[in-house]
Amino acid sequence: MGTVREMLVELTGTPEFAEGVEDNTDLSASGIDSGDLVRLVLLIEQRTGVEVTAEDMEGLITLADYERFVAERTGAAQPGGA
Amino acid sequence: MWLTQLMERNRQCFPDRAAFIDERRSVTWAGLHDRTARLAHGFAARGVRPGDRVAVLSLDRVEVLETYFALARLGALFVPLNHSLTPDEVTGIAERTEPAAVVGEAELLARHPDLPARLRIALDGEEFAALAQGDGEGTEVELPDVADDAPAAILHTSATTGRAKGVTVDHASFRAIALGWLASARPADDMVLLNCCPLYHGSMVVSLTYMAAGATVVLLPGFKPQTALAAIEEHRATHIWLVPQMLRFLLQAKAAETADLSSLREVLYGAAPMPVDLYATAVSRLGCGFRQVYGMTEVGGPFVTLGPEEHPAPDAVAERLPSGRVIAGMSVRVLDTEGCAAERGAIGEICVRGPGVMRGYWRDEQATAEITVNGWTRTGDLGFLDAEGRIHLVDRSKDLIIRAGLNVYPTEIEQALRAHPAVRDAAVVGIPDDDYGEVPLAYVVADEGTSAAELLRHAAGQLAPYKRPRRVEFIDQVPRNPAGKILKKLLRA
Repeated sequence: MGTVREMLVELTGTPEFAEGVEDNTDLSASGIDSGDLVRLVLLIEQRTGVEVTAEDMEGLITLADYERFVAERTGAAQPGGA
Repeated sequence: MWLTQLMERNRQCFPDRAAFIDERRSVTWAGLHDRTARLAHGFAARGVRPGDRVAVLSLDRVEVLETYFALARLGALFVPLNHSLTPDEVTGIAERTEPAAVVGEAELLARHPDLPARLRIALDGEEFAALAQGDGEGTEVELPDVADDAPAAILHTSATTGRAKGVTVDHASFRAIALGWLASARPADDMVLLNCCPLYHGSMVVSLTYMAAGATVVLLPGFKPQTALAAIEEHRATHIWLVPQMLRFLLQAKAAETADLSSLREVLYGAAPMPVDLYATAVSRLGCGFRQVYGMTEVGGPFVTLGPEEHPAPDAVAERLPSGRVIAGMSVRVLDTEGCAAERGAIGEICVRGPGVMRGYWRDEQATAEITVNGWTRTGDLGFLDAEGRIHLVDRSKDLIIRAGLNVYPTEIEQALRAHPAVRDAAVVGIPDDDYGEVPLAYVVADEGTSAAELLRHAAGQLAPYKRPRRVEFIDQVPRNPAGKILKKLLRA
């Protein structure tokens, strides 16, 4: 499971939501509470030390976007990547 | 009439100043005046009549407020819909209010194909743009002279019954609250208010009061700390209106460490209690004034405020900040259980009277009668008046959960859970939560083998995200008194 997906499971406390979300689903329309999406970004900042700016937020739509963002900013390999 | 009057006055006084700004565009007071006139004519040409209801389904954006003002000019009622509601919840509201038209963002309209209305207009589509620019239709229609006591909006609130109640507000109510706020909080035309609260909610009346002063209102399509911080910087916002949980998120964001927030003069907060630790952090980090807003949709919105000059130092707050003083023109009384005025300092139910109070619940005389005692409107909040006339809230008499400023009635969640075939009984209580203030916890009696995940999935199909239980715990029996009432104190213990 990807880093961000794990955080989503942790935040929502309801694994069936986070695990059921497709990588390319728009998270804001996935049924996940908007407050939990705010908390997800704050948790990413807290855990990785990376600042997420308003400009970054515009490109963070899907779980894959988030995973890619974290991987790029932290230098980590993307889950499932080569 | 009031919305038209304030728009006309601001057009005369500040024609080129921005009235509303969102991420895409802005509109001046002169532009708003002209666009809403054309929209009103266009709606009329498409069959919307005075007294008709028009549902509005959108994230916050300039076109939402343009629609509200255009409908006010036409004498039609705007009925904002919470975009996070499930299709069943939205359809329920539509069936009760019978909208002649639905105006909303195309994507949201597509999510609700069964929403009944004879006219659908996408706010972000070509038809709306053509209407606002004047497509020539309807110009022969003379717009009515809308009476002050004509209903202007139906704003929906959660209800103990589990079915949202429509609060019918007239133009005079908006005017009374705005004038009271102008006298008490003194908003001015040089202010820029960043509105972080949804325009479908009764809290949108706060923004209307700043518009009345000629201030500029900045809108966000949903709250994200990073975009709110960027908006403060970009627009040099002097005021920000949010719920305490948003303030906590704002201060937690990394961007808050470097953002230039020096333009901020006041943080307006309300809809949920301000945690003392958050207040202390915010005072130290922001260094601006704080204004508490205590309101209720049924009494017209914000009717009590605690201004910066009366905010105590954080170390002087023991448990809870006082709520403040009633605004000019409205009256508050603390009533005891017999419906009589309580003595000064004694705890009772906060009740309200004045021209801001709603006309009543939409087509629900019984519910309207139940919330009224001897001409006073009951808030369901327990509190007292101190020697200086400030209102202090201590508890709620209603069985209500306030999750990040949104009211959630346990009954609605209990009904949704009981609809699952394996559930034999359910009881829901609010539990403290650092991020949201409170979240719902469900206690369920269910057939063996039923999983919490299954019930949460079921609830997700029935309830908007903010109403869903955060957790499910299984018990053998829901504790009830002999009359069958759930003993929630035992569950909270």
